[in-house]
Amino acid sequence: MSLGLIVVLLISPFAGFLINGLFGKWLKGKEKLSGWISALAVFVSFACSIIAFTSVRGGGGMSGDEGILYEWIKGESFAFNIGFHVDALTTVMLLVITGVGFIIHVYSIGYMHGDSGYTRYFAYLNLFVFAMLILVLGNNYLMMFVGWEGVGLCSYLLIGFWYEKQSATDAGKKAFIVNRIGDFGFLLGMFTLFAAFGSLDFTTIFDSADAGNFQQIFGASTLVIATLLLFVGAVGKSAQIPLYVWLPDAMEGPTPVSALIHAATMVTAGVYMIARSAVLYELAETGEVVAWIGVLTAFFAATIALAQNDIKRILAYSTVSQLGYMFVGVGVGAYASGIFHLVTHAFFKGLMFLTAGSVMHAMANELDMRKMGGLRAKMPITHWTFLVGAMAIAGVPFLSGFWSKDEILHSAWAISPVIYGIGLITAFLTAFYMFRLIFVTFYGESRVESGVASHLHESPPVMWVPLAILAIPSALIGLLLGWGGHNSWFHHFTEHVFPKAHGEASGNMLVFMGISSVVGLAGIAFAWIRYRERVPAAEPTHALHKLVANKYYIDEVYNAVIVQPIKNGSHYLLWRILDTGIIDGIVNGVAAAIRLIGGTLRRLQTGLVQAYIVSMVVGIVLFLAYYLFVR
Amino acid sequence: MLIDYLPILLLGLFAVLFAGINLALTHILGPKRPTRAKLSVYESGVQPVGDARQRFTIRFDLIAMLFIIFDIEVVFLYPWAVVFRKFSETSGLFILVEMLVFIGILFLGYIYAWKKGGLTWD
Amino acid sequence: MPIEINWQLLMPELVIALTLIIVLIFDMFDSISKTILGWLTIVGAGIALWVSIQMQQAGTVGTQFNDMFKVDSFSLFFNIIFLISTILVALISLSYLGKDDRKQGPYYLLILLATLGMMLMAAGNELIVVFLGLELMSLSLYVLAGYFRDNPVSSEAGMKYLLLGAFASAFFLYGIALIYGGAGTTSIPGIASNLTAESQSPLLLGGMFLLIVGFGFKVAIVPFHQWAPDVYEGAPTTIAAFISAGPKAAGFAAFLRIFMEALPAMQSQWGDVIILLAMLTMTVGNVIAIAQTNIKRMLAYSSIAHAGYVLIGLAAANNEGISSVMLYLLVYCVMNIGAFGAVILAKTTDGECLTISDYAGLGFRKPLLGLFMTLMLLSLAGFPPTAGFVGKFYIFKSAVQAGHTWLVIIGAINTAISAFYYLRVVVTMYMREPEEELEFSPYPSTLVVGLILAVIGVLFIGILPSLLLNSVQNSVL
Repeated sequence: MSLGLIVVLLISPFAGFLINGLFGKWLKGKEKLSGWISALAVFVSFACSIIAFTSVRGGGGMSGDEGILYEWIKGESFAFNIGFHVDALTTVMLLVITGVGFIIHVYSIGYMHGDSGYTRYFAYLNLFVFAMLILVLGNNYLMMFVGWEGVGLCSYLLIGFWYEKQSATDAGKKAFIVNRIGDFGFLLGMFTLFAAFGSLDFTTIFDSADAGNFQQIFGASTLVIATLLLFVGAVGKSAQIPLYVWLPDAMEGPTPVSALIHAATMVTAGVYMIARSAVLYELAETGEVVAWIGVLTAFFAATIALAQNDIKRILAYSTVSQLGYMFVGVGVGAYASGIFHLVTHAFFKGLMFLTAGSVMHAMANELDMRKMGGLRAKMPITHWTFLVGAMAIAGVPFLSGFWSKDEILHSAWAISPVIYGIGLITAFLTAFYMFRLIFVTFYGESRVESGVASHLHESPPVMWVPLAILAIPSALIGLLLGWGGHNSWFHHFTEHVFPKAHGEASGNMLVFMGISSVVGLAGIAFAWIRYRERVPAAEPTHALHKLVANKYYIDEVYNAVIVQPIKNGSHYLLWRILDTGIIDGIVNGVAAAIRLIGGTLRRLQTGLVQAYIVSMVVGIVLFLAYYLFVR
Repeated sequence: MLIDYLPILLLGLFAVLFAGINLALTHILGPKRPTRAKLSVYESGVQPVGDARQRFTIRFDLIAMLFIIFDIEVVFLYPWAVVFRKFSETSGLFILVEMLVFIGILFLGYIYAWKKGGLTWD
Repeated sequence: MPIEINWQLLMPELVIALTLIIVLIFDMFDSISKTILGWLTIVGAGIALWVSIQMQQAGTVGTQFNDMFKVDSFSLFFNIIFLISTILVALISLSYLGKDDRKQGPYYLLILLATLGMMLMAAGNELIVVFLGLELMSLSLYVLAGYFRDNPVSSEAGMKYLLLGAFASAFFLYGIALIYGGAGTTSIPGIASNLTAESQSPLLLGGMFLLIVGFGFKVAIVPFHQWAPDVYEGAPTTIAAFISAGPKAAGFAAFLRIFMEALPAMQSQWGDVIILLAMLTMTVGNVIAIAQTNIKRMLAYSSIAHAGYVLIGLAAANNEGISSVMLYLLVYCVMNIGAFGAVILAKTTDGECLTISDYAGLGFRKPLLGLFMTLMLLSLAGFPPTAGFVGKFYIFKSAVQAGHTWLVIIGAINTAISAFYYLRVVVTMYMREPEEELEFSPYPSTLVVGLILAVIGVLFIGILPSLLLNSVQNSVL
């Protein structure tokens, strides 16, 4: 593998961004062209990723000095490089990003048809892919951070894509602010690492950490603090408790964006980061924190999803929940399993979002499933593909979700049976809410409003072909890569990347698989009994239902406990007392002083040439005096 | 260290004194028999009486500047001519061409000024 | 005595001189469209740029005219800076002057003359040659500043610049005279060899000091800076961009060459004055910039502050310092011309948007303009990954290396102050609602091309500094 390949891989989407961004006006009337240019750009990256993948499989790869493209900035004792780290983990991420990314680009060509911001959309999407590639390709935390901020920016731009809509801009803002909290943690973590190791390069840090050769800036807990701070970043980006609130709102963006950014790729950046820093998490032994946050998020989000009626929101909470699983995986030390779930999830969740988009497309942007029902007759392909995705996520045996989720649960058992138990309950809930969605939307009587029903139709080929293509890996990838559990192909492929899992998984794998299958199928059956013929009630029927339907009032709680106090606090305490009273006093004092200085200096700036000459001469005289008398 | 500047100070003093003493001497020694014509200011034949801020046409400046440019050109030719003999043995042709190029460029400037109406009085 | 001239050494200057003559000839014919003159300028400067880059890469070194004119990597690198500035300014001028402007000829002629002057300054190996270059440049700029004859503000700017500039030139010349008195020669290597730590007369000290005054005026160092805001505000915006870029670089080029090559023995005398001036210049420039409401004046004070940052590198007085100054000047020229270009782009039917509050809401209304302006201001403020960050990083680094940690701290504080007024414009563009709807003129394509080049430059240097850095580090004196 050569650096050139990686550069092409990286630059191609950026070129697409430039073309769509700079020549947007010229492309205005030719929207097909604009979309295909951008899809092609991602396809080139995809092709390069495949080459990189085969090379890594053949024992190639790139790490340390050989991956350095050039030196960016050099100081006395440190240097920041622009360089790439390509190993099994990277190539897996590359294939997901560019593969799923390409399909979603193609799908978008149909989905965004006729939108006034067509070229802008594709420019942002390409920029996103570029930033995401930087994130996974970088061989140091600085590049990771650049990508991290880049994807955040694109996510913000795309959530607020329809900026005429107040809710869209609000959602964008919310995502932006919540992510700032996480990013701040990430930044602090990065500073801690830099202070401890004097470098941000992966190889340097991991090697020194292994050898215990670093500055204990916080004593023995240096690595603990660093990893937890980095995890704060992951919690923000990957929407975990308590920072998950932005993701459901992010559904305001165009649906393909939800599929690509808020399901398949960007939100998994936190999982990738922890897997990449596995050495540090192992040494710091902070994995358990990660696993607990993960499992609680998984359970919590799944319960919320039970009572939602908006298709995309269900999928969003499901994403939060599944990300929780991934964190359980990387948290309990089963890094390969966590990443494996990331891969399968990218396919089936991406697929489900795209099908949801297809439904929206047909239903004139309706998202409330109570107004659907019986769609299966009119939209067979959408129905079947969605069913594949739902079965995959529900853990129906031999579909992809079954393999990856099972591995995680199996590994969790070795660390903590409690985590395993909660995970298992979540699996049941997942199967239940997903099939609730299916039965209410695609089966039963049609409740579609007559105006919409008349032109209810299957989506055009440019949309359903990607669905069909995505459905295949959603169904089979688990079987192909995951056959054999911890001895699967995937584990062998990634074995050099991750430290050996500390708790050797115990118990017979087949028993666990059996339990999971039963739980998943039970969830489906339960949904069948409850929602085959029934429609969710318009109003929540009892208190618990109401609590869940309102998402545990978390948004309200945040609003009451954090947002309002900050607002009020900043208004009364900070603004009234601290700001106007104390700081203003100081600032006004300083400002007054500066104004005084400025005023005095400005008085010198009279506009009169004579005055300027006088001031020059005064300056000269003063300096001469300094020379003659002071020195 | 300051003492080193003494010559400069003396030079300055001398300049001031020289001018001052001359002015003072003429004032003291010269006989004063003023007439009206003598009291009037002589200024290149221009009417000296009236507002000092009298305007006169900008064209004077233009012509004066152009004159100076080409005057300098001629001044430059003198030292060139003087050293020409010294170099004529080895690279006479070269410095001849060099001067021709110089004159050529200035000639071009002259045409430019002409073309742009710099020489027309009205 | 045979005369030998190595024409190759003089190529960039000859190309510019030839372009000048061609523009002059073309301008004589009224039948020829005047816009062609701008393109001729760009092409000529482009060829000269290409030649300079080739020579710089090849490491061409040599002297000419009895050692009065020295071509080395240093001078060639500065040639590159000047020529890039000239090309960018010519590009943004094409639309600024308009097709119907009959006076375009002198405009481009004077720009070329000024460029030639700058090149002479950078290559001058002799104080008199430096002075010649300085005057050639300055006289052209005086006229250019007052280019809009019918506009009283422009005329005033030209007049002020002339009066103050002549005053400063006199100091400079007097400084040369005193140095000649002290060292017995005006040749730069000659001065260096005649000068030992013991043989320093007060004449030399005075001469050196007057040179600082002269350069201080040309590059707008506090307290010799006061012409800058008035001239920038009054001069045509393109010329303000030009004055703030190339001539400042030229001033520093000669400054570096004279002080590092001719007067290194006196470093103990000029070292701390430079530090003092650096602190004063940065602080005064940034503090007053905060109070500005006119964007051209703000950029004027910002350019004063930037001269202060450059002085930090000069104060370091080591190879690192020189190379960081060279890098910074290149970066600064590109981003500053870019910023002025963005000001030109913000043109309404009533004229340019000059008050900062006019920029309210422009970020969303005019996304391209917003992007250009934001990038240039971020670069001026020194945010990564723009070129401004790289430039400041190496300047500060060189000063730390030379042991001027305090100077760097003051520089860093100043950077923070400067971020305030740069970001204020960005905030105004994106977060304020406009008070009145302004009618904007369509973007002229040449201006957009110029700005895109500046953006590419700023991002390229910001992301890939190492390519340039090697070249700079090989070009130190």
